[in-house]
Amino acid sequence: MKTHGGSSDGAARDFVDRVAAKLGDVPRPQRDELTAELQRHLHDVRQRSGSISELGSAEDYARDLREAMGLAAQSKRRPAAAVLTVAAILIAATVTTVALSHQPRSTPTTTSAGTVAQSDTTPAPSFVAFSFGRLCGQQASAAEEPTVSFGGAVIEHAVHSTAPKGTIVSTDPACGTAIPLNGTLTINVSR
Amino acid sequence: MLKGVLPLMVLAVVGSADAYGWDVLRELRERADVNVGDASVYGTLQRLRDRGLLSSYLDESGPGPNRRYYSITAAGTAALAEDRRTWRGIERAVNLVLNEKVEMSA
Repeated sequence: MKTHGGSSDGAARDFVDRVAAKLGDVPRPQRDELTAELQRHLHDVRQRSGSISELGSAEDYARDLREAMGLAAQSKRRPAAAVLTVAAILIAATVTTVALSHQPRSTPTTTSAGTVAQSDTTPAPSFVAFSFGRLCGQQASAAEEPTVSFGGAVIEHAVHSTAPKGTIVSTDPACGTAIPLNGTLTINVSR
Repeated sequence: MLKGVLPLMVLAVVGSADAYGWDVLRELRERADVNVGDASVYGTLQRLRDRGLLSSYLDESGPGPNRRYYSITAAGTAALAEDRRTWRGIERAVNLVLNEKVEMSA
């Protein structure tokens, strides 16, 4: 087998993409590191044996990687109570919340967090854009009683940081970025 | 059973010299004759870094994609010393029990 050429590069790229697809809940900076590290690894494997077939399937590789990282099986969501607790942090820090309902409206409705809580009794919004700029740097323990449920999955990830323990170091999507109501929000908390 | 001690072995390998994933794999497979999967080693390195026991840096020299090197941190050195003591205790206990069984069945 040739050790270079387009098809081998393609196989390596495909392998990396398929592993990355199984790491959707890993914060982007870490996911990027993992895929870069995997690219280097595939380079070494090919240098030695000319093919990456000895690694098995990308899906099995991703499963072993997740297991060793201590991550739950993919798509496992946190219990509802935990989701609500983190939602409370979100809401406490929300400066502006824009909710777009399923029903087409002439203009997006801008409301306060309190109004969104009331909207639980109306058809659930399909998309919520949080402006959670103040969330970063907050203590995760600053959570208050939830006033609104966040429909998506919240994944809390303990990271090493010089910030005091419990501080929200970063979020994925990044602070100030819109997230789908049923999407996944990862908060990185200083351990 | 290997999974439980893999973090300790990876920590010990990186503790003896900075290493990137390939080095750690080779050390475990060729020198220690441990049958360990590639992904398990990379995942373990990430987890140890998440826990602050390792730090990492990129080596941008050399051909091919950059290598991510891992170094043991002060916390990692302390954890390694502690885990080493724990392991010696386990080793002694398991050997005692195993030897006893052997004598009983003999």
